[in-house]
Amino acid sequence: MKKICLYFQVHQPMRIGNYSFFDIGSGKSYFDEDKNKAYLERVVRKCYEPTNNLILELINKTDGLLKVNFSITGTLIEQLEFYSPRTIESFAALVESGCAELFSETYYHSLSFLISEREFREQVKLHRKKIKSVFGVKPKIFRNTEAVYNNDIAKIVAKLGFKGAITEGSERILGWRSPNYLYKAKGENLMLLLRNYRLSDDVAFRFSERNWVEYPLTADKYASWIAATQGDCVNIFMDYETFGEHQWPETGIFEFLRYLPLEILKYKDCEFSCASSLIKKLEPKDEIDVPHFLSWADIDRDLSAWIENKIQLHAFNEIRALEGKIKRNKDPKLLHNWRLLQTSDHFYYMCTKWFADGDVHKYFNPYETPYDAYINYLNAISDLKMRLGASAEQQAHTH
Amino acid sequence: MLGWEFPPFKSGGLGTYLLGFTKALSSLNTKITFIMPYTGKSIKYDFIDIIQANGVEFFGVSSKLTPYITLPVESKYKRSIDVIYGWHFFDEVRYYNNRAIEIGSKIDCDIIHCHDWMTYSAGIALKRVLKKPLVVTIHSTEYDRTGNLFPNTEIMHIERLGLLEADAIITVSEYEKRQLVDRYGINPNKITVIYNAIDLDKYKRMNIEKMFNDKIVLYVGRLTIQKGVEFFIDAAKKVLEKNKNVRFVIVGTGDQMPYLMQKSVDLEIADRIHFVGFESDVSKYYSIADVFVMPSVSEPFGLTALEALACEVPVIISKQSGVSEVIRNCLKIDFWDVNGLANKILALLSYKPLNEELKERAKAEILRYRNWNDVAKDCLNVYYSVAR
Repeated sequence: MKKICLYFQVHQPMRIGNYSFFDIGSGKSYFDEDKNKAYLERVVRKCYEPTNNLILELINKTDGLLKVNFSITGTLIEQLEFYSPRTIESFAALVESGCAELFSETYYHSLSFLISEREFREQVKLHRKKIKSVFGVKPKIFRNTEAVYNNDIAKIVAKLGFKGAITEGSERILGWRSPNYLYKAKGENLMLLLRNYRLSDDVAFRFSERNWVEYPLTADKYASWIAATQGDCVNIFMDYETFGEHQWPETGIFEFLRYLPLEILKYKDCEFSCASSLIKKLEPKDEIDVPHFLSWADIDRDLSAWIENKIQLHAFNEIRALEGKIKRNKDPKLLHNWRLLQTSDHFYYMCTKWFADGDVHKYFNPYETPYDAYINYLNAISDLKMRLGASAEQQAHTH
Repeated sequence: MLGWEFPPFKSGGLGTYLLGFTKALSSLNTKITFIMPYTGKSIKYDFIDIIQANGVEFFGVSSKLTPYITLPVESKYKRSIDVIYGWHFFDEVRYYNNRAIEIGSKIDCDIIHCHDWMTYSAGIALKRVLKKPLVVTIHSTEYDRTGNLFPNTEIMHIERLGLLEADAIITVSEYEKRQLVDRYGINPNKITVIYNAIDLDKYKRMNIEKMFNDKIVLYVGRLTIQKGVEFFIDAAKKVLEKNKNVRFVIVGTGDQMPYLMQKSVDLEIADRIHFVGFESDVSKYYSIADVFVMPSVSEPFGLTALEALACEVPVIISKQSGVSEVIRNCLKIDFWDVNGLANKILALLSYKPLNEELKERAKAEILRYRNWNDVAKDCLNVYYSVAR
């Protein structure tokens, strides 16, 4: 049986508010509550609520044959707990059905593996703890921020006890091999599920593109492509916000989703699978060696969407340099703020790769230019440094 | 072609534009005869016939035309303060146009091309006499020049007549096109946007030693209400509250100069604000600047922003400008947002990587940017579309 693995990334960053140079040292919060609330409520209304309901309905309709996988970031869970606890419940209902598996990742959807191994481990553990306390499950599969992966990350992840991880099914690491098989990380007891980016992006990016030759994409057509795909498994990974937010309801994306499971199940050799049962049933075909960073973003499939140009490098170095001080300081609020500022989205907004891929960046970017994103970020960092200094001074006095 | 200034006699961007544009146009096998107000000196170029409409026959004085009523042109040197515009000014416009009609009606041409409102009356008359299509280029409207405060209705009337009579209209930005459609009720179908170009040979970073260690924030342009210089000074006050080691340099003259000087005295920052006056060679100021600011209230294009970029200075420009449609690697503000402007100036002065990234990207962008040949080609297409 060919296994279809659907995985959805569910994430919202804590967006930085308008933080002026004149706000440095003022005690103003970095994060704009109203703006974050508004963004969150919109995405709940447009995507999470209707899509969760639809998937639950389809699980019931298929007698549990539909299986899905999610990973939900800590920054989103926190915001949902605050602004929309109902949405947490609806994710919990999916998990309870036994047909939805939750993955683990860094709590803050961060690039913490570039900060230090210690910070990375701490954030993974934080997320695991959060998932356990909210949903009562312990994830077995790891998904790093934007599917960023290399051999070093595999090593740490295996040590943390994960059985499998996901990343991009890029030709760069696969060569002649197909992404539609199970693989193993080089030298580690860690299974790798590789994203079939063509089939995934057919939905995530091309679904509503009218000058695409396959437009309109219907559920039966897509199911026939999956059925015709050679291999043991087909890994369809994308942002959950594809449904209703990136692809508006008017594009027919919900109708597509409504009929897709039924159309796929018409093929007798296809079944849906949760990731951890998939890796138990399939044998890895080969080892994958990934010496350099790989991600699922842009055409470059590397870290260049977040850390490439001068402003991104500088902003990231600024936040990284604070680790020692922040951790010695032991102020939980400062630590939390520092970590919220690590969320990869902040760096994505500073990307200056304008053309081609830049258009996608523009779509998701609340700032008019990457330079505005950087200025805002640096102002916040400057303030954090001041708070850190003041807090250290205060501690010196009390001790 | 009719216009009111040509280098070396110029007060603003039009002269710069016309020199680059006509040179490129003539290289595309176009013969140009240019009729302009009398300057008292001979202007000679091999690519264009320049006829100065000598007003002597009528009044015995040379014309002192400029479209900016608020600006005493060549003020310090040539114009005595007791000569005030008013009916006098409109008369001069009329005399110039009458002479231009006389001269123009003897010229064999295929297209009549007018730049800005002061030439429109002649353009309309010549269209009738010569029975040739009229093309007008709008470099600014009365709304722009007055910053939307008390636009002169007579000028607006002339502008509107010219726009209605024109067979084709060229604007220098979408922003300006929108102004014509919204404020003058002009049919958008006969308006073509042709963005300004820049002469990269002329604007290059020079190696100049600064005489002090302070950072320099630069403004270049006329000192009129249209240009929003007062917001620049308000922002300077805010910047200086956070960082004392900054100087603000203002290059240009205009009717707001006394007001702006007084304002900087009142704000107690006069020692940090340098009024340089009119300067024909601005490259040297660009070359010592750390930040260039164009805070215009309403700017049809804004060539100075391109000049600054060509000299590798990071720029902050107002969103109410045409140039903000074509330049990506810059910072943009609303002209009234003094806090936002100060924030961005401080960021550029404090965060070095931002300065470097912007400079690098902007340089690459400006090298890819259009030249005057592109402008001339676009304009020829407009000519062909209306030629009979």
